[in-house]
Amino acid sequence: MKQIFPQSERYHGVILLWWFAAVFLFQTTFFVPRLIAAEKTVVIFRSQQIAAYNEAILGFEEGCKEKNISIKTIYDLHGDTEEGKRIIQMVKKDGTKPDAILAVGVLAATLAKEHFSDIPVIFCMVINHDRFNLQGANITGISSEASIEDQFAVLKEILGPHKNIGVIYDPLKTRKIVAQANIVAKQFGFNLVKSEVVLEKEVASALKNITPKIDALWLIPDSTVITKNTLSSIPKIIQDRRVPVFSTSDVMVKAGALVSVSPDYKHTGIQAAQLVQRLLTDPPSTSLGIQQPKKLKLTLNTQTAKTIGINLLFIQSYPDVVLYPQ
Amino acid sequence: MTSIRAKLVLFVSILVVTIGILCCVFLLNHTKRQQEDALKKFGTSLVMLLAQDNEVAYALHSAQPAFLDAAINRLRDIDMEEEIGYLRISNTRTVMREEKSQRINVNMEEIPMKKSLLKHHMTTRKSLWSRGGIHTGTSTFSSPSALFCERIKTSSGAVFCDFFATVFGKKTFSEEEFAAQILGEDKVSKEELRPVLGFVQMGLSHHKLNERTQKIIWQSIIPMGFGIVCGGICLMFFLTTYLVSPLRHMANITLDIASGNLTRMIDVKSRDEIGQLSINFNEMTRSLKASHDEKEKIMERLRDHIKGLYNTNKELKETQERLLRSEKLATVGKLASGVGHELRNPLGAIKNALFLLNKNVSVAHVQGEGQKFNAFMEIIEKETERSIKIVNDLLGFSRTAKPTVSPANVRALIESSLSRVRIPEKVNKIVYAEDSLPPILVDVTQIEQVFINLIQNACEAMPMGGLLTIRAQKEGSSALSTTFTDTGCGIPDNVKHMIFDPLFTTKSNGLGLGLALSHSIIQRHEGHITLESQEGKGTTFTVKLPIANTQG
Repeated sequence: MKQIFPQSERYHGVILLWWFAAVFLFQTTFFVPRLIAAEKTVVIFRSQQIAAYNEAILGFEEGCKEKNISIKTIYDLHGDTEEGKRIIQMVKKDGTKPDAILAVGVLAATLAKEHFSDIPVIFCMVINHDRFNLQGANITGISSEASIEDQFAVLKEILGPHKNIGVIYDPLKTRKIVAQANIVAKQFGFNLVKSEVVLEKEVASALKNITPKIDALWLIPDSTVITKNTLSSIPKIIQDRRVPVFSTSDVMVKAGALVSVSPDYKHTGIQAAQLVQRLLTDPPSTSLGIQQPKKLKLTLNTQTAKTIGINLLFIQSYPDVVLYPQ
Repeated sequence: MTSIRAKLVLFVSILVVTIGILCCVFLLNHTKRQQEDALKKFGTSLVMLLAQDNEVAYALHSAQPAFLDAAINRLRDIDMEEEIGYLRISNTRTVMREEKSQRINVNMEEIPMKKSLLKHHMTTRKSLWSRGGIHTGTSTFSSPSALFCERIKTSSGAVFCDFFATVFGKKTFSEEEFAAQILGEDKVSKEELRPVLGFVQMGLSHHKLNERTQKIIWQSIIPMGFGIVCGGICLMFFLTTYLVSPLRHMANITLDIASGNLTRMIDVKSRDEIGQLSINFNEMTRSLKASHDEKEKIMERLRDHIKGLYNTNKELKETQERLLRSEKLATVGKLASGVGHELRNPLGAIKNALFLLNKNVSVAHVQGEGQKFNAFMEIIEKETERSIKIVNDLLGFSRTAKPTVSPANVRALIESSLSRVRIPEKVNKIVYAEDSLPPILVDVTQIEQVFINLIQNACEAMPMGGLLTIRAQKEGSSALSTTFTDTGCGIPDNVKHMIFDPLFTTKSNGLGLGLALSHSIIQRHEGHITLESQEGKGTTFTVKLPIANTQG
């Protein structure tokens, strides 16, 4: 029997070609879809259109780049519960299920928690998140407030220790924060002077009563306390009593408060993207809990500092310091 | 004088009436206000319920009035007392539903449409800071997105609280509003308008409010007023009983004490100020009584002293008088004794000589002067006898001896004395002297002389006649008095004190020794002779003499 090896050598190039073609087809058939499938999709629910939320979403988009995470859709709930529910129902009915949900704002976070139990939900920009019971195996998030330790550290640097720090709060809303602050204040050598209010109209008299007893007023994000009237009364407190006001929102600083320690909203978005990547890469068995914002910004009102007579020059040289008026 | 009770009653009455009226007026106003507030709150709840109803919003959005039925029925179920007078639901173009109560007569054309507000709401932007609640009332209405409430009165007299609310297309989650405030929204361009779908207008009738107010007036205000008046009456009764009555009782006791009854005391019934006042008053009364008793004792002693002094003075005066009289008597006696003794012998000699001369000289000897001679001789004899009598009287006065006493019956003494005196015919005499009168211890001769002197004086005092009354009677247990009363001319007051003085006489031919001698005799008998006389009516001499102690 005669061997036909020389024929084989003649078609060697064709076979090689076929082989490459077969490999290409195999790769295309088996690996490319897998690669395509490995790109994770995220749906963003935004509670409403405000600058801070948009800034966070911008940061998230930036954070998702080169992390194989794509933002499928951004839904705006327009601050309306009914509309929010309608939109979420619509998303749920859609066949493609996102890998993760980013909820920006309290409305989005509460609705997402309510309607999605099998998809990881990451929330951010939820003010005073403790109030809304945002807990669950699939729920994690980033706090929208700087930690009390960070806030008191700044305060101590400005005022020094052994000061009476006043706080007005509605026990139904912010009792937990004040209880934690009471412990932290002792660590920093502060005496926390508390004043409870239940109604918005009680805030004015509480302010009047507490200001003579304190060295500084700490405004916490309590919707009973922080109202239009409170904001308008801050300049009067500073003018009449020379009591510095510090808070967790730069809006307060613009209203006349001395200093605020607040998260960098854009970086919060980036941090959320990192969290999503971590969750999708290596899904944990339990919730990762609520993380503190990694990057903070300090907003100072130089005009108020001048009125009260506090020298803020040493702190102005710090990174991430915003001065107002600019 | 207005009493405290009257003042208190007046004051408490005015106070109670004033408080009652004020309380009733205040409660009435308060009740009305409360009822109106409740009506406003109820109306606010109803109109907001309707305005926020999804079906209403859908009905307005889709211009389908039929979809309003369910929402309106739900509202009617809540309005159990049928206070809704009228209801008007309209979209931005036309009225979709207008209803009015069957029971209340109201012309819907009289109910204003709030067109100005319609225009205002057409471009209303979403308000982030409307969380402060619903503002009701015409004066407090400020936000066009809030509720509007006003009072409407129709031509038929029906009064309504008119509520007006806007139906918005969608609502904003309140926590998101807060987030927007905290996080700042200044960089966001919010061109989104909050669509206004329509309006809900509703009127709640005041008739139920008035019924409730009337009910409260009858069930609360009038009983309260009645209660206040009853309370006032009780208060008045309490005040008058516990305050005025003790005071009046105290005033009565004060009057008793003022009239001298210091034994009156107040019963202490309470331990309050009035009780303390009663205790103090009783203490004061006791002190007053002690002082009064002490004063009475002192006054008694003083009276005794004064009486003693008076008696002493009287005795002294009498003693002085007696001494004076005794001195006078002694002097007169001495003089009488001397004069009588010196004149007795010459008078005796004259008498003898006259006897002899009368015997030896005959009528013939005097030669025709016999009648004259006899007349002269009679005069000389008569005067000589009289002179002798005077001298004898003087001697008798001076020789009054110490009485030799023996028990004697006074009636016998009177009768003996009367028998020895010649009583003129014109003078009648009456003697009252019982035989049973006790005997007196006297010198019978001397006492008879006294009685004779007094009888003679009485007769001489009644020259024109009269009545001589002699009365003897027992004076106590140790004395017996004999009175000689005439109805004569009496003794002038200015000489009464001298009537017992020797040589004092009111008679023209008296020597003034009779009464002085009588006084002297009675004194020696340890008796008394007194005089009572009224000029022109008569004189009474009373002789008191000691009764003889027959047992001893």
